[in-house]
Amino acid sequence: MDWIALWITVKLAFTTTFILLIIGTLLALWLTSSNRWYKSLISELINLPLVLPSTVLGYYLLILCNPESSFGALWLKMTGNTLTFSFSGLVIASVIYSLPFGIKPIQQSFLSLQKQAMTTASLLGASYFDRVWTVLLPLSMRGILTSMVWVFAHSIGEFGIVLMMGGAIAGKTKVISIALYEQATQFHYVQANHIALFMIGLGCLFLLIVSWLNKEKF
Amino acid sequence: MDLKLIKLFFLVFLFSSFAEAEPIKIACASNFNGTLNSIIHLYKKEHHVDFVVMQGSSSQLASQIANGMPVNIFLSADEKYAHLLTEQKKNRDLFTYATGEVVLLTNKKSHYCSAQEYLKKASIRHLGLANPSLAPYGTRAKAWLEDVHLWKILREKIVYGEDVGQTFEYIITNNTEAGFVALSQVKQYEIAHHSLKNHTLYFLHSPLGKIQQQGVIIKNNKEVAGFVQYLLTAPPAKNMLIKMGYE
Repeated sequence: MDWIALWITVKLAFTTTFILLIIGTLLALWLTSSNRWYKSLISELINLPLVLPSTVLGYYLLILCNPESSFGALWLKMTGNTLTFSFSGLVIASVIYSLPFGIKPIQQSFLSLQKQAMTTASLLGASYFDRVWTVLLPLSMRGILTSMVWVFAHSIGEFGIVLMMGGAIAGKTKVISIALYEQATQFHYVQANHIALFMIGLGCLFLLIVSWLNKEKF
Repeated sequence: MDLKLIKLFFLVFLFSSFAEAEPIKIACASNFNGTLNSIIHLYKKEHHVDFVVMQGSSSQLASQIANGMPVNIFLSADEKYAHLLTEQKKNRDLFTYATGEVVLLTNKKSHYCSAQEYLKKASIRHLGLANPSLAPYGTRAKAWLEDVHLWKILREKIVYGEDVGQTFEYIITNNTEAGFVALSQVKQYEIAHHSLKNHTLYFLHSPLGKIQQQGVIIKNNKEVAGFVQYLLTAPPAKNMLIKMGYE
């Protein structure tokens, strides 16, 4: 078992989940706060990573994030590190890649509460901030948790983007899916089996959590 | 009526796939992919055969073939992975089809007198290497770096491509300042872009830089034997190999 790769994977998943919890909630709030044509367009565009091969994203990130490009150069100036072949690059890729999972469930929750609970609270004189903080967020807990679990699980399984822009550096960008790929192509079937079985176990655990979240009353 | 029509279509479809000659399926190490396609192009002018080429790192392809990927020919980037497949089934034919060369390519023009000097003096953030545990060109490049005592110094800067194809892509997209690739890739790039104006090529000047590339016939038939014969002996194929930097 490649523990270092597992640690990198878990670290990537946690970071992505945390960032998307904030971005996802804020974006969902903004998207559901009023009806504008561009909001429904953005809402649809967020689904793009779902229908694109992850290599498309990997390819563009490789082109856009290299130190000679304007964005890559700016990042290098600010942080002293390149985006490609670095953990922060993987985090950015991962956040974009998991965006639909980080927003959709929360957006659904918000939408379903918009009509009744939010209108009632507004009629009772609660300010916008009050309504969001004491009504919307607590009642949307299930949506938020579901989204977090999906993002976490999705980040754990990331492969294509990491393969294209990670550089397979042990301890930095070599995640568990890459480690499995390397073991399998080197004829190390015992090690590959260990990783694969472990990942199946982890996957089942996530599914259990999701189904429990769907049953539980919040 | 509808059902009959569907059945008819199904039958026609089924038999049409039998009627056409089977294409020759070749699993090819990334460094040789461009050259192979050029040779196939030449071969097709004289023969009516179709080809399917699969590209990847030698280790990835060897592992897929060992697990039953249906191919006729495997063109490895070295001897090791070709031997692995002849050990698996003893009656498979082994042949050496080219001698490739590992070179250092930079993403900008530079004027150092050797690869060593470049690696010691130039400011490099990342150095690209095909994954030594998957790709023979990476294995050799690593061995050379160790030989000239640069491995320990550069270790932190090394990023791994899955094969030389990806390592080359890293350099061309400016993600690494330099990388170890195959001479054939550089030649191919030079032909496609008419020059190497923004890059510098350094030879390693070491026996470690030369790689004997071997192939294996996995599933033989008349067409397959004909093509291998052409690859190994025909003057147009030989000329193409030389043009692409092979010996």
